Amino acid sequence: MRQQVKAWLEQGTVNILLGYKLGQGYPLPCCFTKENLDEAAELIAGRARYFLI
Amino acid sequence: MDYKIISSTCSYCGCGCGVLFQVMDGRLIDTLPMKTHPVNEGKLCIKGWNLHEHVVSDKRLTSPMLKKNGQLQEVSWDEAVRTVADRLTSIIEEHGPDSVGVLASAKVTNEENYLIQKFTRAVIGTNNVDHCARHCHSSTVVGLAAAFGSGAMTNSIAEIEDAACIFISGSNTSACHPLIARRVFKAKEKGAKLIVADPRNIQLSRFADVAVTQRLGSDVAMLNGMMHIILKNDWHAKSYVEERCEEFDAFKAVVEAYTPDKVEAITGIAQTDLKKMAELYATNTPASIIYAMGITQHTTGVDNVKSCCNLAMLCGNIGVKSGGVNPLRGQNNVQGACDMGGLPNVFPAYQPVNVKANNEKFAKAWGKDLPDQIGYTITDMTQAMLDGKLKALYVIGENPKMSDPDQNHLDKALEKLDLLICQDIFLSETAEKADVLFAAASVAEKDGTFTSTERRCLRVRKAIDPIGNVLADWEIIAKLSTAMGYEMNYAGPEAIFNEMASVTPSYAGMTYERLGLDGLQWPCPNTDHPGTRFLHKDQFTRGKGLFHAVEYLDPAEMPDDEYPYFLTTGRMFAHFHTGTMTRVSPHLNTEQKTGYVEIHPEDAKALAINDGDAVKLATRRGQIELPARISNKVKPGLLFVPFHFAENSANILTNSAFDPIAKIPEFKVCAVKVAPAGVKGTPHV
Ligand code: SF4
Repeated sequence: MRQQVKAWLEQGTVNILLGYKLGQGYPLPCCFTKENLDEAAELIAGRARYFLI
Repeated sequence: MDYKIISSTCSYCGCGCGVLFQVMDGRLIDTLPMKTHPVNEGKLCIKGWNLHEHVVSDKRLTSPMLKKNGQLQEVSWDEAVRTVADRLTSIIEEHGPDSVGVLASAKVTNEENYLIQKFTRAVIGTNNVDHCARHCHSSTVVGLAAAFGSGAMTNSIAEIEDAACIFISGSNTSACHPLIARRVFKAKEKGAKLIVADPRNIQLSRFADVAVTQRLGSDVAMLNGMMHIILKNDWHAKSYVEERCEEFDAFKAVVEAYTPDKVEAITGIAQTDLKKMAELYATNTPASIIYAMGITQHTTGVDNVKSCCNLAMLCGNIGVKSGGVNPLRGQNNVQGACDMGGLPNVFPAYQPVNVKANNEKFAKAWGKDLPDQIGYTITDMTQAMLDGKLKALYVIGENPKMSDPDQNHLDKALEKLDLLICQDIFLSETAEKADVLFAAASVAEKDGTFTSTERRCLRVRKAIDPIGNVLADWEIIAKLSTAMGYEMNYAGPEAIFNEMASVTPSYAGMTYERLGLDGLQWPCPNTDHPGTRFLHKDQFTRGKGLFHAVEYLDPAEMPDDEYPYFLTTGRMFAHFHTGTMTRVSPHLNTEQKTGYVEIHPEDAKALAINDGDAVKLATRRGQIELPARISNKVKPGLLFVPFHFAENSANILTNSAFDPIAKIPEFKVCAVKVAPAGVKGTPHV
C-alpha cells in the first residue's frame, strides 16, 4: 500500500492522499503529497476514522 | 494545498480534552476531537468543537497598545515593553516592590505561569501574585490539603465510570464539564447509583436515583446530616477510619447533633431523601464525590470541602480506584497555574515561600534574593488598591472587571491605580481600562503545556503562526524581565518546562517527549515513574487522613424584608466565564446572546412577570436589568443569573464577603429583590 501510494503521488495519478500515520503512538490524519514523498513510508491502515475539512 | 493536522489540548474547561487543529495553507480552519485521547475518546462538547473560532475572530488584539491622550493606540513592542519597564521601575523605587501586584492566568500555559511567578518574585521582588483560582477552588486547595495533605482531585476522570456510586454536589457537570458528565452517564449504564444535590434542578438530576435541591449555602448541614445517619446505622468503614485517619471522636461529637429533623429545617431536604442519600453513598463502594463551585464559592467554602473529605474518609473512599473527592476545575489550566506557584504563599509545587529552605532553594536556582513574606491575594489586592498601597497591577489573561464580586467596588479600586497593564488576546472589559496593553498569542499559536483537573499535564502545540503583531505570553514576560535588568533568554517553552521540572518535585519526571499525546498525571517524581492515577493509596500524603469537626454557619447574606429572594450565579453550557472567547465565537454566541434570570413560575406570577419581560434585580451592591426566563429549574424564592454577559453582569450583584481562610468570595449566595422593569419581552423558546 505504501509503495502504491508513493507511486501514485510520484506519477501524479493523485495530487494528495488523505490517510493516517502514527504520531507518538496514535493514528493521526495526514495529508500525503508529492512534496513530502518520504512520509508515504509512514502511512498506516487501522480502525481510526476522522472526517476531515 | 498545504494541509496539516496538529494535536493539542482544548483551552476552555478543565477536562483536558485532546483536539486536532486542521490547518489549510497556514490558516486554522477547524477543530476535531482526538479519537484515541484517554480523556475525551473522540468526543468534544460544543465549546471544544468550536475552539478555532475565537482564535480566528476579527476581534483579536493584533498589536501592543499604549494609552495616549486617553486613547489606546498601537505602538511597537519595544515602546510598549520599555514604557512598562520604566514605569514599574519607578513605582518600585518610590513605593517599594509590594506596591505592585500581578495576576497570573488559568488560561495560559504552565511554562508561562512559571515565568509569571518567577518574574514577580525575582524581578519585581514581591509575592503579590495570585490568579482566578482564588475565585473558584482556593477553598479546595486549603480544605483538601488540610484533610489529606494534597489539594487536588484525588482520582482520574476515566475512573468515574467504574464507581458504584457517584455523589454530585454543586456541579452542573453536563453543562460545565460535559466530558466528565459523559463518564457519569457511562457509570449509570453500568449500574452505578447517582445522587445529585444542587439548589437548582440541573440536567443530571433527571438521571439520579435521588436528587435534592438543598437550600443555598446549607451544604455543611446536609453533609453532616448524611454522616449522622451513616454513623447511626453503622454503615461507616470502621477499620479504615481506625487505621488510616485521626481526630475521629471530635468529628463524631459534632455530627451527632445533626439529626435528620434539624437538617431538614436548615436545608429543606426531606428526611427520607437524606436517609436514601446516606444509604446509597455508604453502601455502594467505591463511591466518588464530584463537586465544583457550588461547594467552594461560599464564606464557608473550606468547611464545605472539609465536610466532603469527612464523608469520603468515613466510608473508606480515599486511596481507592474510582472513589475519591473530585473537585472539577473550571479552567483549562487552573490546576497548572496553582501547581506553578501562581499564588502568593507558595513557589511551584506548593512549597511555602516563608520556609527558609524553600526560599534559599529558589533564590539559588534563580540567582536572586527572594521575598519571604506572603503576598496579597486577589481579594486583598482590591482593598490594597483602595487604600493606596497597591499602585500597579499587571493582569495576564484575566478579566477581573467581570469575574470579581461586587463590580462597582472593584471599578473604584482600579481607578486608584497609577498603572494598569493588561495582557490578553481580546479587548476585555478590564483591558479597555489599561494604560498599556500587551497583545498575546492564542492557544493555537504557541507551544507549551496545560494541567487538567485530573492532574494530567498535556501538551499544547503550535498550529499556526501568530495572527498579527502578537507574542506568546512567555515571550512578553521574558522581554519585560530582560528590559528590567533580569535576563530571561529561553530557547522556547521546552527550555522553560525543563527548568520548571528541575525545581518542582511533582513534575520532576516529566519531559516533552514523555508527555507525548496523552500526558502524565502528577505526582511523577522521576523519569521512570508512570504518573499517578489516584492519590493517597496505602497512605495519605499527610500521613493520616484528618477528620474535621465542622459546624454549619449561615451564608453572609440571607434574604430579608428588603431583599427577599436568594440569588445564585453560574455558567450555561455554550459560554465560558466572562464570555471573552465564547461571545466572539459565532456558533456559541448564537446559542445565547445575552444574560437572563431564571425565576420560578409561582414567583413570576406573584410579580406579574411574563417570560422574556425585562426585570430589575437589585442587591445592596448594585442593580442590573435583564430578561426573565420562567423556569422550574429554580425553586420558589431562588433566582439564577449566568455570569457571562457584560451588559447585565451578575457580578454587579454578588457579595464580596469571603471565606476567612481561603479568601474565596461568596459568589453563590446573596439576597436580592426583583421587580418588572416595565418592558415586555419575547418568550424564550
Ligand atoms: S469538555 Fe471542556 S475540555 Fe472538553 S471540549 Fe468541552 S470545554 Fe473543551
